[in-house]
Amino acid sequence: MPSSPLAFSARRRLLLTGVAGALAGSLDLTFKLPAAAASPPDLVVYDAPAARTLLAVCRTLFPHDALGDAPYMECVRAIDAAAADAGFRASIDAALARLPADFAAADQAVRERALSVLRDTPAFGALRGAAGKLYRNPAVWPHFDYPGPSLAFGGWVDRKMLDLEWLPAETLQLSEVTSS
Amino acid sequence: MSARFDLNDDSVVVVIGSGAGGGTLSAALTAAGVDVVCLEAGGQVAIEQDLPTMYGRVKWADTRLSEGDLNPALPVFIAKAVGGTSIVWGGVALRIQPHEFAARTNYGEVAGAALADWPMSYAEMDPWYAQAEQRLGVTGTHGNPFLPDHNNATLLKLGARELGYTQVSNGHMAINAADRDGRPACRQFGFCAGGCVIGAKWSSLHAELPKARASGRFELRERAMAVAIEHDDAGRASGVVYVDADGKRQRQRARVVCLAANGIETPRLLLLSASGRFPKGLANGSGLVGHHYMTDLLGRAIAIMPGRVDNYRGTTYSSLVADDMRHDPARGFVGGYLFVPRGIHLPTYVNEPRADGWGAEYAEVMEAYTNMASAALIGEDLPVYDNRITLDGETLDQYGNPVPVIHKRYHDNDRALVAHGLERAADIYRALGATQVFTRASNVAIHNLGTCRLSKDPADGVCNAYGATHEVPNLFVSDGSQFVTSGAAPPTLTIAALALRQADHIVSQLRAGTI
Repeated sequence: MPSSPLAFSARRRLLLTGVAGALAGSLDLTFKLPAAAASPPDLVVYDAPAARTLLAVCRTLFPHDALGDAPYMECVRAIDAAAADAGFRASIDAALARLPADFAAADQAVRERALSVLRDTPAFGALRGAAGKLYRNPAVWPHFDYPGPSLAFGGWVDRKMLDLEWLPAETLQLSEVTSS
Repeated sequence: MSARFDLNDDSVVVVIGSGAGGGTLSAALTAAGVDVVCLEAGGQVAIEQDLPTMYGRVKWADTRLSEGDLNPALPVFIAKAVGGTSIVWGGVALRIQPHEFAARTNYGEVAGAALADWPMSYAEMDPWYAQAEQRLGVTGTHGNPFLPDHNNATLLKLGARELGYTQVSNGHMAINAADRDGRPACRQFGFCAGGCVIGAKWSSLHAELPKARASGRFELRERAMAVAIEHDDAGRASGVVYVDADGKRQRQRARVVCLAANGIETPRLLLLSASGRFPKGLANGSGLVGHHYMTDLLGRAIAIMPGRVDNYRGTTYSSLVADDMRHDPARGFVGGYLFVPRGIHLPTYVNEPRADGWGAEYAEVMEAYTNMASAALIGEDLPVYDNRITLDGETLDQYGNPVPVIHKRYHDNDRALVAHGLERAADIYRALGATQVFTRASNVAIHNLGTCRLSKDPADGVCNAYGATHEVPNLFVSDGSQFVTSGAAPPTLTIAALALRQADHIVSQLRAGTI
C-alpha cells in the first residue's frame, strides 16, 4: 500500500532537521573543551584530553576539512557509549596510549603514520567502525550531495534518473539499444 | 484470517521458516486446502529507508563460528524475521540454466569438487519456473514490463556494450514494474536491500504470507525457534519441538514436516535431531547432511567516473549482463557468472571500495560519492565435500544447543572465476573513462546452499527430487539446502519454483494417503 501523506510529512520534518543540523555543524567549527579535565558534555567515560584525542583519531580516519567537529563528536560519543564495557575501554585505552602525546596537534600525515602502528589491533577496527558512522549522520549528507531516504518525495520514478550528460554522445546513443 | 491449531493436532503440515521457501510453500499448500502451522524464529519487523538500521533489525545474530575463508566476525548475513531473508533480497530472479542442471555431465570431473547432476532435468523444472516467474511477477517474462533505466544500470550496460557484450538487458526482477497481485508498482526508492517499504518487490512478507493467511488455514507462530524434529517408532516425523516467544518449550505434532530454515539452520536442525534410530542426525544415513555448502561467488566493482552518477537513485540491482553465465572452460574455469548494477547509499559506502580503507586518500574516494558507479558479480560456486556445517563441541546457543560451525574454503576454480569476472568488471568501467576502480571478492555469505542436496541415489544426497528426505518420507527440505549446484543465478527464483513443485507433490501424496 502507498504510504499516507502523514508519513511523508513526518519524514520531511526529519530531513529538515537534518539540514538544520548540518548548518549548525558548519558553524560549530571548534568543540569547546572545558578547562578542567571533567568529561565533556554527554560523555560519560572519557575526560577532555581523551575526548580531544578521540576526536583527532576520528578526523584522521575520515578527514573532510569542510565538516566541522560536531558530526565527528557524534562518533566520539558512540565510542564513549561503547566504553561502558570495561573490556572495550581497556582495548581503546591501550591503543590510545601508543599514540604520541601531541597527536591531536599534529598534521594529518603525521597522525596517519601514528595510527598506522595500530592498524592490526582490534581497537583500530572498533575505532574505524565508530568513525565510519560519520556517513550515517544526516548532518553530513548535504556535503556529499546525498539526499537520503526517498520516501518523503515519493521515490525517483517521476524524477530524473538518467542524466549522464558527461558521456560522449555516441556512447549515450547506445542506451536506446539496451533498454529492453 | 489467521487459523489456530492445537499443539496436539497431528493433521497439520508444520513448516519451519517463513522466508522465500517456507512462505511460498505455505501459501501453495494452504491454497490447496492443507492446514499449515509455520514456525518462524524471528518477529515482525518494520521496514524503513535506512540500511544500517534495517541490517541491525533483521540480522540473524545468534552465534556462528567460521572456519576457513569467510569473515570470522560475520561469516553469513541472513535475516531472522517474519518473511525471512526474502525481506532484504535484491530481487534478481533468474533461472538456473539448462547446462547447470547437469553440471557433472557438462563440466566433467573437477578435482577437489563433488559435482553432481540434479536428479531432475531442466525440462522438468521449466513449467515450475514459469509458474514461479508468473507468481513473483518477474519483469521481462510472461508479458511483465521491464523496470526503467537509471544512471548506474545504464553505465553498466553501456560499458558492457563497449566491450562487445550482447546479452545486456534491463534484467529479470521480481519487482513490480506495474501494479499487480495486490502490490503497487516500484517507485524507484533505491533501498531494495533493506526491504521495500511499499511491497513492490516480491517477498514472502508482502506476497506469500498474506495469501496463506487469507486462506484461513494458516497459523504463523512468531519468535518460535525450532530446536528438534521428533519421529515415531516407524521412523516418521511426528512433530517439532520449539521454544516459543515466552521461552517455553512446546511440541507441535505434525503429519508432515517441511524444513525451510535457510542452508545453515536446516542441516543444523537435522543434526540436532539425532536419536537412537538416527544416530548421525535425522535423515543423515548418507552422512551428507551439512556437506557441500555453497555460498554463490560474490564480488563487487566500485568505479569513480568522470561525471555524476548518483547511483542511490532507482532500483538497486535492476539490469543484467548475462554473456559470462555460459560454461566456457577456455576462460580457465568451469561455470559462469553475471553482472548486475548495485546501488550504494552513503551510510554503507564507507566499507565498499575497501573494507578497511581510511585516511586522506580514502576520504577523497568518499568525497567522490556522487561520481561512483557500482556492479556486483554473482557466480557459480562449486560443491566441495569438506565445505560444510557442523555442530560445535563447546559453544552453546541461548537454547542450550551447540552452535553451528561454517567450514568454507574457496576452490581454485572459484578464485579463477572471481578474478576473471572482476577484471572484466573493471574493464567495463574503464571503457567509459573511470578514473579509479576498486574490485574485491566478498567474504560474507548471503546465499547458503547445498547442505541437504537432492539425489537419485540415497547414498549421494539427503533428499529425493521433490525434497523429501530419503530416510524419512514425511520430512521435506524446502529451501536452498536442496541445491545440487549453485548455478550462476541467485537462488531465490529456484527456491520458489522448487517450493511450488514440492507443494504440488505433497498435496498429491496427502490425497493418496502415502504420507
